[in-house]
Amino acid sequence: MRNSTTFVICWRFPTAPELLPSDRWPARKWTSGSDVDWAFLVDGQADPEHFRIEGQIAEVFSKTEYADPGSTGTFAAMASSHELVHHVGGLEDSNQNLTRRILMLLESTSLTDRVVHERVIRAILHRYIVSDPAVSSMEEHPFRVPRFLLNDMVRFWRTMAVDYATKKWQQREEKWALRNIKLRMSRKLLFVKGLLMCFDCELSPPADELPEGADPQLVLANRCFELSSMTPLDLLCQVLSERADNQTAVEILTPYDEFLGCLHDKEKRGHLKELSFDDAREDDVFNELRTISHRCQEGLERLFFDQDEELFRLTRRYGVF
Amino acid sequence: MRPIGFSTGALAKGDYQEGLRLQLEVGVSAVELSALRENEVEILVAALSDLDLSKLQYVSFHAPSKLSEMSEDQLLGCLNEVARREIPIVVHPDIIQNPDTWRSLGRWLLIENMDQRKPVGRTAGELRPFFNLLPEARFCFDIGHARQVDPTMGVAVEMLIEFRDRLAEIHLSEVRSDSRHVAIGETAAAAYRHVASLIPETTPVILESMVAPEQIRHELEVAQSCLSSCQQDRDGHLAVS
Repeated sequence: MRNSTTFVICWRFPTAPELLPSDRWPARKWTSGSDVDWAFLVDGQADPEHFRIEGQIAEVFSKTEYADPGSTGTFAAMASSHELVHHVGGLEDSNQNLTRRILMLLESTSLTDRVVHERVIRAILHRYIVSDPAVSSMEEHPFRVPRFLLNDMVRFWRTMAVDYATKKWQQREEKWALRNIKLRMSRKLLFVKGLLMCFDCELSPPADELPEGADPQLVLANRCFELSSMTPLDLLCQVLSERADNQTAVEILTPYDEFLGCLHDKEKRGHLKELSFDDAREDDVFNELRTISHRCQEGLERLFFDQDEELFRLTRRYGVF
Repeated sequence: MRPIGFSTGALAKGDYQEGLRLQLEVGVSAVELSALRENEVEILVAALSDLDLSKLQYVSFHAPSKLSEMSEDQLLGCLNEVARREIPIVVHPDIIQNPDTWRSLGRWLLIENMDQRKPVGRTAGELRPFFNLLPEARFCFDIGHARQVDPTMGVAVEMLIEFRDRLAEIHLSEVRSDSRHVAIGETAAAAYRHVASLIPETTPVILESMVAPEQIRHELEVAQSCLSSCQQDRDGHLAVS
């Protein structure tokens, strides 16, 4: 079960998009009350017709049991691949664009033709990895942590944390506790996936020698593409099985399971939505989840710092400075 | 020297004789006989024994891209005759309905990667099931299709690495977003150079660029330059070896 995912409805020029045939919906594995972050991704020529299609998609989603996405306009809207690929950093890279781009990489699923979705993800990864080669010799270290990508993952994580405080201020504590717990758990898990994706380049370089003439940067981008299609939990579990003992896995996954259980409980979820900041300190549900998040945090620290020499080296080398 | 030439259909749609004549005039070393429409297959197969292909180093045959009148068995009846002549046959994977029957073509069956319109065969992952079911089949890599599906050429690299032992022919052209095959432009050429070193120098190349007769020589030169073994330095300058 997951707490969130981002749906992407793709537009493949010049064919009209299939409007969400029900058999293409992924099997429901989300906690009850989860919102649906969807975007109508246009990868091609601009067409006034897109506006009408966006409205049709919104109507389809409004009839589902999923909660509406947030009020920021980041999702439940049209998104252009051009902005996602070309506006990385700089003044044009808005908070909204950053969020869409990184969530595309970390947790998106295509509801229509997956080739468009994959093409945009590959183009984004190309920007980070192939278009930004390292200064030092690629021949010497072809598989190294892609710093541009890593920096944006870190930026996204810190942005989520800062935005949590901003929303608390602007939205007068509405859903404050729910956001707090999500930041401690599911949002943090997204960052864990981002870190592991970047570290994988050095943790698991290709076992076989590359064929003569193969561009290591393209091979690296392909590897990141493979990892991007894994869910954050799947990637975490893979790393846990390869680089940690059972105790660490239990320390992380048990509280995460408990967190999902709590959010799946309509009563507890509803309670958290209404909980004020002032009441939180004495609130049983909130404190239960807070303790859960501390246990998960301890497990993550153990994984990244104490379990595996190589993972520790990468965390120290790239995690802070 | 790499055998290179055009698909007859690219130069003269539906007229293989004219498509062949135009190429032989300029002295190409490879040709693909195109029967992209099903009504062309029987006529072209019947004409094979009369065609003078002696000056060519490489000849292949392109099977129809869609079947509506002809059954799969009827088509295979024709294609078995082509395979008997040891002519490689390029096939779009989406017309393969019953893979068992296609095994009769053995190594003369070349499965081509598809453009973005097709629901199958566009990526290494989508081609894999076909090669698993047809272990003797070889690979016709359409570099234009691969670039249309993924301009970063990541999909191209995946296919060229995974199917390198099966690689038998290259289709070369620029494929527009509406899937039309046109003359190779600068941006496409630059993308193709990026993966050229993964293509052996002996693999035959068939151009599918739809160009006028007076552009044939120029397109051949552009194609040669796309597939030269090039290295790009950090400033984007190309060094041809």
